[in-house]
Amino acid sequence: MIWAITMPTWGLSMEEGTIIGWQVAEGSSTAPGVELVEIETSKIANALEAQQAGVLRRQLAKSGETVACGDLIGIIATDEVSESELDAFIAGFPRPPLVASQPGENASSDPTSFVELPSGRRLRYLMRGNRGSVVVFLHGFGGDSHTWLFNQARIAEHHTALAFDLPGHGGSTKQVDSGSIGELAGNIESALDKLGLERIHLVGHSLGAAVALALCERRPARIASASLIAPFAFGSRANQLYVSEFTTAQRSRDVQRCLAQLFAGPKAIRRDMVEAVVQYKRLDGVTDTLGKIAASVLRQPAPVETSAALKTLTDRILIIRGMHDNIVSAGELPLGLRLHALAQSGHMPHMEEPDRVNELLLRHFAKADGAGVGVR
Amino acid sequence: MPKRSFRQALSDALRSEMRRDSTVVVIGEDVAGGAGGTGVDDAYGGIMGVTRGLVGEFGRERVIDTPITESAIIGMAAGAAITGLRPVAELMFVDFLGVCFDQILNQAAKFRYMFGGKVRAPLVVRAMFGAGFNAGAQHSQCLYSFFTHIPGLKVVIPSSPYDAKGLLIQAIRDDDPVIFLEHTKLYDLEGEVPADSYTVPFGEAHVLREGGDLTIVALARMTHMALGAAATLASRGIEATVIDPRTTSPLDEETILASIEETGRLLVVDESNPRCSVASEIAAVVAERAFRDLKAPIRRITAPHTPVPFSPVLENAYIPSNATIEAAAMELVRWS
Repeated sequence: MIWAITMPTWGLSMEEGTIIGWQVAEGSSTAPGVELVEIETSKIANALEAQQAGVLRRQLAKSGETVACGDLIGIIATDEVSESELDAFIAGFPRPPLVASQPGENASSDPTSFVELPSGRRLRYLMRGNRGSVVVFLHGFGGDSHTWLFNQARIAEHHTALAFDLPGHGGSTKQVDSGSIGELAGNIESALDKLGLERIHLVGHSLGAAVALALCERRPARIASASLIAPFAFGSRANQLYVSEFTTAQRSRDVQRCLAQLFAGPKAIRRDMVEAVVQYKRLDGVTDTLGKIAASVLRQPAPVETSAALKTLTDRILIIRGMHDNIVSAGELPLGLRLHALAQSGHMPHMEEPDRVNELLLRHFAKADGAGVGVR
Repeated sequence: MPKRSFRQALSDALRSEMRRDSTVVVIGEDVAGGAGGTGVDDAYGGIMGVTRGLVGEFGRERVIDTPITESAIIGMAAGAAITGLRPVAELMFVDFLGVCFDQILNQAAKFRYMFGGKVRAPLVVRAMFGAGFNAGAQHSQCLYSFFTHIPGLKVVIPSSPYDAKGLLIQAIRDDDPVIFLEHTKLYDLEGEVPADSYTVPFGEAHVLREGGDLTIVALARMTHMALGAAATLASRGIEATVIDPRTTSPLDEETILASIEETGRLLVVDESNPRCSVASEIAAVVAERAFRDLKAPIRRITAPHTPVPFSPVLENAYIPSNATIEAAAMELVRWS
């Protein structure tokens, strides 16, 4: 058996990636989950994991080489495959079509959409996939839907996956009233109503998880499952120094220092991602909005008590945390909630261990879908 | 994110600030066009069309066509600024600085200081500069070193549509006199520009590219030459950092010095004439503060010490090119 390893596409605007270095030598064996090669783009760096058990027969792209998304970078094959069969496979591999692109061209053809709310505000969302049950992603404080760049495409293989930009963030209206969880959840709820989404799986990160929980409480019948990643919930405390530093940071190096605290390992974020956050921070109203949300929500511990509505959802709530999370503390989980602790992650497990998180999510959705959720 | 040209980004900035703040007014020659004549109202919108359409929305009380008299335009703007307006005055070409220099140097730049802080002069002077259109010696100069030298002025030189909009909004909101300079060859340059209003702070350089072998500091059109040269150098295994200071006053020395600490080699690319140029200033700052980090002498790439030629062949030779930058970079990297 021969399997192609190709340059992945992370997020919606990635066109090419650069090989940082191979973790597995040519001729060594691979197994699903083993880190094969470290890849970086102008935005981010990540390790590509093997999906198959076999031998890494060829490393076709070398360290420092830049390759278009979809192009071959290596081959895994089982032992009995001959060298000439490998050569034939490589020769016959379809090359991705050459796209004559200009800087930023792909980015402006993002499949983003907007939903207008009755209040006159609008929310931006990215949608991928068009089959299976609906999954709604909610990012965290100061972020936007691009935080799901390693997750959305994978989930979209089996589901319709929508990632919203919260009020005040990304491409959504930047102004908020009080910035409370009630306001944020209310806006998302209006958007879900407007789009006619009746039954959804929720995935929330950090502040987005608090919003997700609020949505569960407001209309539990709508929620098929809730996956909370590094949630600000159940008595969690937010790192106040981080919150104020991030809110006030304007210069590139200050923003970079902040973002580095989100991750457990060495810096994964690259210049373009820092620049994107810097440009967001400069927009009129953003610093104000972040300050309001911080004051309304993050300065005190997250609420502890779970409502009756939440109790009915207990077996459909999944919690994922990184063991090295310096930004949000664990809080006190109510009885019966399952927690997955990831050993190599800080506050961003969906970016730090995306394959693990994606599998946990897909299994959680499948279980809730299979169980005929909504029938109590 | 929408794609806008440099020209459109400037226009967007002016329009959004004029909507937000009724004290913002635009003054200059043909900024609307058609004044006092029969025919189309809003015939021009400035020589490059940046202010086109503003008179239709804001009227001739706020978009004011003037006679051809720069001393009056800038004098009027300086006076209006200290009485509570935020004028955005236009010098068609920065070369016309000569006839309104007193209004800038001795009036606007010094009001705040000489009145003990009791007045502020929040005016913006926009002007076009730079060579490349065969416009001749009196319509192609840079002259930003003149302004940079004067305490009390802020000097802003965007190189991209994103920077143009954010820096102009910042300039209009700034309470001090700002000289805002636009390179003639950049007006049609396109880039991604947020539809929302935003500001880009002064005194913060933009690192356009990172590389460990040398640092290239470049302004306006020269940043694009530097990026082109950096791409060619990369194919030869030399990785350059390219820094655009964006504002020469205040100047972001820290970003440049931090880069020299890593690379040890500095190339400054400035389309101006060499003597007392901003390139010389940056070279002096780095020599003074980062002497121990330097592995090679500092190189300035500037135009020659001549007026800008009218002949296309000579003008081409006058303007620093990708090739000149590459050659200088190779020399620096090989220097021992």
